[in-house]
Amino acid sequence: MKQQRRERRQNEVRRAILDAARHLFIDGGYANVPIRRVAAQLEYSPAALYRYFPTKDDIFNELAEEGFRLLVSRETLPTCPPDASPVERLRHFFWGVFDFARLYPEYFYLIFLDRSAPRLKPDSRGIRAVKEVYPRVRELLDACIASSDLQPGLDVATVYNVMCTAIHGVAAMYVCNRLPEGVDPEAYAHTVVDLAIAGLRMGALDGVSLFGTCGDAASGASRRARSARPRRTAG
Amino acid sequence: MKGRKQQAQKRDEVRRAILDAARHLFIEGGYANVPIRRVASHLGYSAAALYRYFPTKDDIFNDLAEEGFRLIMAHETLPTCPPDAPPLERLRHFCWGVYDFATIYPEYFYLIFLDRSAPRLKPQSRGLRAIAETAPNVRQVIEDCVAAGELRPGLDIATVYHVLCTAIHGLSAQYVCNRLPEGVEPEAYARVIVDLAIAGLRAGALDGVRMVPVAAAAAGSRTSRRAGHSRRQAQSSNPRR
Repeated sequence: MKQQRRERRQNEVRRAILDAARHLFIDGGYANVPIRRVAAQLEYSPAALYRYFPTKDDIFNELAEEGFRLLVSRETLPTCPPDASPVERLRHFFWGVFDFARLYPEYFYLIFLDRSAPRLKPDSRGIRAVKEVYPRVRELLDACIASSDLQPGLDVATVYNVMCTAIHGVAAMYVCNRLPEGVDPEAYAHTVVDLAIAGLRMGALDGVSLFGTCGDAASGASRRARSARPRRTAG
Repeated sequence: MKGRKQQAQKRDEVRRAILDAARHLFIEGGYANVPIRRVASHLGYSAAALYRYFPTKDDIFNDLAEEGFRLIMAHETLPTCPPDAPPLERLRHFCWGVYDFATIYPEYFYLIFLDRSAPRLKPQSRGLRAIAETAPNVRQVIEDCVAAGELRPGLDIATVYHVLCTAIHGLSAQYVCNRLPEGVEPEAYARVIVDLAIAGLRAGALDGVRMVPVAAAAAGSRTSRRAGHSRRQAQSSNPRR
């Protein structure tokens, strides 16, 4: 009983540290905020804080994992009608990238746009959380291939990363308040997602494999990508 | 005579020094966190001396933004493209320029586009007016693509310009923030993104879409004449095919 209470207390402290750190990092920039300042904000001693997070990067890694789980939760949102066409389901999935930025701009900024924050390691929990979504992407692509909306042979890691990057711009502009003057953010984001999906359907990623077979680091893949530059005509 | 010329030269040098120092400090500390005093003290000037050149911090930002936008334009206007390249290749070079700018001037890119605390540029600011000067160039490339049968007629130039730039923007942001996916070669990855955007355009994703209202697109965009129903049309043409 007592132990339960202590655990709950510990979880509350962890949560408070993460929330305070998130705010401070975003206001001041990750590199400019010493761990002491996080402690001072919460009126803890640095030593007390170190017991929860030995380094500042440990706090960042934890926040990044939370952020990536939120991203995935928007990508795999169950709001898509079950009878929607495969392409429509794919569209819903990638809409999640913008949706995540719209709902959690602080996480988006910290994970993707703070230049002073550390680069996540490939085996970090955050990156692993994102990769857990690959089977779902594979499933969606296979359904699109079965309905002849996409050509067979698409590489999951390439499609996922390239589509996310193509939508990353509108999300970053939204979070940084840099969308073109006067556009409706949602309508604009829909147009960008549509452009990316149309490019995918046009075959821009057919035969392109930017990553190794397991979806991790690339080797000679970039050369293949270059030769796969589409030179097809519209139609 | 000579004295005045020297004075003007000296003034230009001081302006330049202020802009360069401000750019570095803004990027390190974040625009909102750097008071104008710190820019002055960094240069060993008094705050009063600096105010004679730039009455407010936003004036410094506006100047930097204009410089940045002129550098973007320099890259978008296809300096690397062979003059006899086919229209589609020129469009590809244009998109490439958006990315190229970020790789060459990451500091300007960060300050103009990614510092959340920097002010939003006003539509009539010199920076945004500078970028509007590229419109005729974009129009020419698009019209040539239409003439060559690569794109269907009737595209709204302002929409195409903004949406293509936005589609490449994510790539630039990932590059500048060192967030490209692990293991990809930046140039090869960038080429794939540009290809995806152009393929989407050729597939007709922007046919009949009109995103940017007349007023904002006004500069240089002749098609703004046939406007008025911008937003709804854009929404309804969201392909839900």
